[in-house]
Amino acid sequence: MVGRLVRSPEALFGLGLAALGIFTLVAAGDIVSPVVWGPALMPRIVGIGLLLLGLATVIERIRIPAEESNNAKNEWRGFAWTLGSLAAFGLLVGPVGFPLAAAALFACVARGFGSPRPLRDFAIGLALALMATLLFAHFLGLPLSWGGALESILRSR
Amino acid sequence: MEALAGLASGFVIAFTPVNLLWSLVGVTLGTFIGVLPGIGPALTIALLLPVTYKIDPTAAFIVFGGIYYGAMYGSSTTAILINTPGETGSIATTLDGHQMARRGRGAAALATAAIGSFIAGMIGTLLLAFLAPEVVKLALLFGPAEYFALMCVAFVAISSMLGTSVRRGLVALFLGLALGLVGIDQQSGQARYAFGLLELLDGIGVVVVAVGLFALGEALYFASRRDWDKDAAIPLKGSPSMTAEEWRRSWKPWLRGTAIGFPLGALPAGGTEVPTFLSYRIERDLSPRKEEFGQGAIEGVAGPEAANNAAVAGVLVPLLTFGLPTSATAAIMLAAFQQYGINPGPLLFANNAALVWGLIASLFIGNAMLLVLNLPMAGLWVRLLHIPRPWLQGGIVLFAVLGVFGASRSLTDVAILAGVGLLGFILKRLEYPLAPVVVGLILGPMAEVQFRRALQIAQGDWWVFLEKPLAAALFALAAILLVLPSLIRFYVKPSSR
Repeated sequence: MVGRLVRSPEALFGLGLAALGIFTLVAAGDIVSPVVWGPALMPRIVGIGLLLLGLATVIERIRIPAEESNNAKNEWRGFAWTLGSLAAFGLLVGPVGFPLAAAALFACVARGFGSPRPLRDFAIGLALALMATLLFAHFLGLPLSWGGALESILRSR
Repeated sequence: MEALAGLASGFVIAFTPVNLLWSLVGVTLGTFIGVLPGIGPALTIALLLPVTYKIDPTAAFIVFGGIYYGAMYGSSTTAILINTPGETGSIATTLDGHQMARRGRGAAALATAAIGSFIAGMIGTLLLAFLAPEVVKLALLFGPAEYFALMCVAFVAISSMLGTSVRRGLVALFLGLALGLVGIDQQSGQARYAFGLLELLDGIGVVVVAVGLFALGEALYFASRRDWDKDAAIPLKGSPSMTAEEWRRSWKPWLRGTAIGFPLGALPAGGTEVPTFLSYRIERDLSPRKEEFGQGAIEGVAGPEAANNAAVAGVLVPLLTFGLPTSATAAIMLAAFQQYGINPGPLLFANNAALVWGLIASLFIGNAMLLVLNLPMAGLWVRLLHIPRPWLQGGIVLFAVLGVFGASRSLTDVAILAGVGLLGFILKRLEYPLAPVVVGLILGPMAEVQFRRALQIAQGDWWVFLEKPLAAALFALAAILLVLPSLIRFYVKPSSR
């Protein structure tokens, strides 16, 4: 039984749901709720719901393991590049500004989807990001940062 | 004849040059994102929320309505030519539409889809205009208990109709409800699940969740399984047109598709997916040429394509009259209303008559524009299908990050985006539907308000929800909806997918 549980990703997901339900219930205890219709009512219902649904998921997957519905093979490199693109953006946006960081993000995602030429992707991403930045500044009156290095060049002109 | 007076005033508003322009912007953008796989109307409207905040609400909703209608037109092009549904409402279209394209009848498939969409859109919008004022009269009878019961109907409907099982839909719904709990409670002013983080006090934003699920979650999903590039677009020869025989075989499915799509969209049945499959199955059962289905039967394109547009018009009935979203796109439109401080519901027609009737009238105009955009100009949109997938996906994630980071300039939001994206990835991998998460997030806090208000009025007496006949009837309906999808699925499934 434990073997089935560990081998089924959905059963593990069900365990996670049940844990989230318990957490929601425990944290609901901290909410000051003097009457039945107070602010803790909904959290309790949601917590119980998540717990029951989580258990139902675990039980269903242990009783009938899901058949592998799609036989497409996993491509974790593509997944990692796509998720990593956000990390790259988060690290870069401070030092180099939005357009360059967004171009790096674009290139990472393109790489994740199998594009073989990162430099060309970066250039396309940069063009798209510059266009988006200008539109954004125009519509919202919210200029995005151009990054320290670029800003000092622009200011020196 | 409130509807006629309303429509007359609506057309005056919709026919101003600036609103015609917004309508054109909306339907063009809608067709654009409909054609592109990987970006749908819910995501597009979520990304536009921070931008449209600057324009007048009537114009914003004219754009949103245009996007919602346009996406249904555009997605059929993708379904027919590359066998990938542009949106979930076009999955049924891929079955016979793509076969028609392979047999050189792609132009006829596109034509029957566009004309069917037009007819369904016109009839659907007309029904919306005439039904909505009547439904408003009903909505005025609703107290908190009835409202809560109605929201439960919507919760059950959207979680049981979408996805592969009721349990999966409910899991997605409860995840959305849980996300909706975060932040300051509207009634008591108490912070819940904020863990002392300033960013969480305002709650988890609808933009972050919708963008995280629909842009990042889907990107991660497609990146992790490289089976999206197997089909190349089939070139379109000539402009879309149909022979007399094809017209004869199409018109009944168009009308039947409309008759199925509108009520299923309006009775909170979870958007466009169910009515399209139901329509496909009914066309197959009624056809004297059953063997053609799956091989390129035009009825299998005409029916579902009419059904999805009629369903979109149907979805707007509960949204505008009760403030009740029954699809992810409608939920985000509701969030847009809230952003403007407008409460959709029975009072919308009284307090914001210009907005509602301007929107409805513009849907007629937009629908006519869409016929032009999608029939003579279909060849133009087909070119979009040649954008390489890596750039398309890179662009979607870029705009997703811009939409989330641009407005707040907060890296915490980017981190939440990544978290929601991972959740979306897990849900998609395990075949859980995403739309109930968004509906739960937005409708959850509203349901909570009504729920607690009803209990407060009854001084904690739980029978209040069953004593009122209307509320009790709605709870009974919710119970029926919990089992109905298994029955429909039993009818639809065996041979259609």
